[in-house]
Amino acid sequence: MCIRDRYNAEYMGILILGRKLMRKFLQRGFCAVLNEATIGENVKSAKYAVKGEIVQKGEAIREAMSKGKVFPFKKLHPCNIGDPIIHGQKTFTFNRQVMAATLYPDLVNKKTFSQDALDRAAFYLKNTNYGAVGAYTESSGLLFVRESVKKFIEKRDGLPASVNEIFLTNGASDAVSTLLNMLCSEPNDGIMMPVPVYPMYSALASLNRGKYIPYYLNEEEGWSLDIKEVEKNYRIAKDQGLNPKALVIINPGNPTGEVLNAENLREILMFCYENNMQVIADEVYQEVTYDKPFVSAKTVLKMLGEPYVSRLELASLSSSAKSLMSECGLRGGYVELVNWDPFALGQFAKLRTVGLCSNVLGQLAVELMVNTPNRDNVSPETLSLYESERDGIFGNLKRKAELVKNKFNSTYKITCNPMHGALYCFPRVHMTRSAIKAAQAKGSEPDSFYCVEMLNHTGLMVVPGNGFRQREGTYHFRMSNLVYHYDEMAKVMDSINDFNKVFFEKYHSQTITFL
Amino acid sequence: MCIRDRYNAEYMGILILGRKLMRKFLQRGFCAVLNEATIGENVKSAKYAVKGEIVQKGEAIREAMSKGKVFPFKKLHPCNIGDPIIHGQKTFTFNRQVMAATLYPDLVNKKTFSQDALDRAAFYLKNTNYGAVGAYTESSGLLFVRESVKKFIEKRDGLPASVNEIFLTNGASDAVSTLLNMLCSEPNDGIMMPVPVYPMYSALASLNRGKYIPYYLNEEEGWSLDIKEVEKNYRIAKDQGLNPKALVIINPGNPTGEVLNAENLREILMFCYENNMQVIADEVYQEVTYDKPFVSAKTVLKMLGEPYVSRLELASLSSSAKSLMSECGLRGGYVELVNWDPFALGQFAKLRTVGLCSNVLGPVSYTHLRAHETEADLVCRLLLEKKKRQYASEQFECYRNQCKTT
Repeated sequence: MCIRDRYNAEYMGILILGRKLMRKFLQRGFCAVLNEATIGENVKSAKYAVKGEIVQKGEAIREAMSKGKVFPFKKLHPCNIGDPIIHGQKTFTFNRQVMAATLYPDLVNKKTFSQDALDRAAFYLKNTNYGAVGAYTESSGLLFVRESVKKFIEKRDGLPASVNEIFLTNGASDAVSTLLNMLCSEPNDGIMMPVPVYPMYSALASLNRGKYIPYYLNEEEGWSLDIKEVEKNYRIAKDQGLNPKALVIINPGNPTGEVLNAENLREILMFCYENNMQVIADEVYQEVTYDKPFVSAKTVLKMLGEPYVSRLELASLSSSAKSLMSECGLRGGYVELVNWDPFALGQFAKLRTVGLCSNVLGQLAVELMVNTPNRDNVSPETLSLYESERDGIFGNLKRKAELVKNKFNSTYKITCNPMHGALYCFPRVHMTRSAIKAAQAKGSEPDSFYCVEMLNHTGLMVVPGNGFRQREGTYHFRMSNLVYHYDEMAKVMDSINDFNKVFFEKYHSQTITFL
Repeated sequence: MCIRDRYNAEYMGILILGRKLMRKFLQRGFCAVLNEATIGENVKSAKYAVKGEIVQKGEAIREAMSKGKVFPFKKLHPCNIGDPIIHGQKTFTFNRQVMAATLYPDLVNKKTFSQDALDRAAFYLKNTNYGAVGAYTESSGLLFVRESVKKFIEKRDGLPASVNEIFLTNGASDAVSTLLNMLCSEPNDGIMMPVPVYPMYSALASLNRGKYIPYYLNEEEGWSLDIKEVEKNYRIAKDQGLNPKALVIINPGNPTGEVLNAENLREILMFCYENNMQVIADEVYQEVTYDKPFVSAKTVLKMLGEPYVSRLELASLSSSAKSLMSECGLRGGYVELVNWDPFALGQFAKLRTVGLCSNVLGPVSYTHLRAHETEADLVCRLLLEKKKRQYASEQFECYRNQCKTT
């Protein structure tokens, strides 16, 4: 008698249930190979809040709306995710013409598109290995794309780059997955990550059985990075027997919107070098800075000189999803590995071969991101259209960042640091004792409770701060500034204020503030 | 003094070498965070031979040829990898027109393409969440694509499928990575895999610290699957203290070219059920069978009936790279998870959210799986493949006979 049948017999003997109930229970996983008991803790504890509870509730509302149900708001605003296209932002005409013509080369012979787009597509086709896209590419990505990335980096940083240290990936997440796979090899390996952090890092660390070693960003000082905080938490981790292997910086910051200056970066890079840690520099939002300049980690390496510039191991990430071209769904990204040990570099390259290659259209998106139209490579008409599209997008984002700052400064029960870059702000909600109690009564985190209530009243989808981690006793949410039209964004901000008045009228009591 | 400087000082004291040599040695990773010593065994032992030594040597030859060096052959034949496009095979006109128009919707208004292609592109755009491709999709993939896949599966197998059990992935490899991540949780967890096996499976098992439990296919009997061989190796694994969690079947076979019959599949599925293993059915080549019909694992589940049809956990994989459309670079694939425990299904779905979503063009390309331009195109391509294969096997037979006579 096989194991499964034996369980059946024992079960029948124990429970006086009908055959139907028994089958239902068994189908629910009494003997399933993969069930709650057999799935590893590393999988169960991995959480990615950006796609959590709010998304499901938002979907339910969308469905109800499509069936005619009436809500106190006209439409949903999916500000939980950093995707401008879903709010109505358009893609660049040049980019899409190039990609369409590359996919269907006959378009190159027709006069449907601008000559510049057709020339670029023809260049791409000529430089693929077999004159067509559709084949597998080299596992590290098409060579001509990596050459464009190399040129872009060299121009940006004034330091040499190598095509053998550049890897094209399905978005930046794909590269981080391979990085953390390599870094977390022993049970006590840890990755230092900011608090708050973009939860992909904590989820991937957990999946790879690595420990999250937090360093707290300073909310009172505009989410700035304090090196003493990093040192303190490093020592705590070492005392606990952990082995910090790498430190993640997200610059510009997600979810904070802060942009690090050269001094911050200098301290961090020196600290990592002195304590034998790699640096993972998530620089995906480098194109999106409003009032502070973006300084790349590699630029600071150059400023530091020896021994850092040739010995500090750095991984720098970028993504077509988060540049102004906003091609989220195409999953284009790259990672540059600087100063890696040759054996380790070879292992990384090997791991990239197992999935064969990243998707080819994403690779082309990366080329379009780093090799943008300029006076030398396109006609004035094409350049003018491209620039007007790009400036329109950026100007819109910048104005809305300013709007968000001004509005939150006068929103009831909310304080918020300014958005200096990226697409998000991380406002703090000053929860009242009774609101916290109401949340606990529902088995909910207070900020999750707040965000669900806000969704139900305003249609605004955000991500509760507990998904990003935050200081104990503080409550936040991450909201994008991506509602497309400025006026509509302003209305959304006003609706938050109106909602807060209602919410805190209901849950009024002494505000809890923690330092 | 920091750790790194201490190493420096000790090193200087030990070796009488110039500063230049010392820096070179240090740069080679004496203190690197990631070096040969600190990288885990799971990474070092993972191997993917498809992109191994031959590829590098081939690249060197290609480069030498481009510089004018003469070889005893006129061109390279990259038959190491399953990619028809690099040999000159064309993509389907209809597919590419639809994809181009989806990417650049203004084409829908022009008369550059066939009306059918434009209609299909318009349908896709209408059914994306925001009327455009380029946004992130649902993490399990665009709903209308999953609905197409569901209909395809139901038509193929005569069993119900659910959009909540279908996940669109960046090629089949992406799905296998998540599967093995979930299956290999304890140090003694193992995955039964054929010998010979497509090395992505062994590489991903190694990466996830899972043990490769081999079952040998029978070369003398046309690479057939012998259930006794599976049983024997299962027992050996159990005796070694391993915990076989799943069994991989690759059907049609890679690298063998064999196609399993219903009886083979029946034995395997029953064996897995009786021994509490999941089945991972790699069915990416299901469109490419020459003289034996493809039988899906789910079809056999249906034949088996209860308790298998509602209790055996099955993951079935497919890919647009390996269908006749051969869109390798687009990385379109799906996995269907059959009879999974709801909690486990939820965890799989959760893991798929961490990378946000698979690339949007891959799955869009996938809906063409059953939308070939004409039946004639499909038949022609199948015949061409069959002819080539027949020629190759005749040549090989000839060569084998020559070997026997020498």
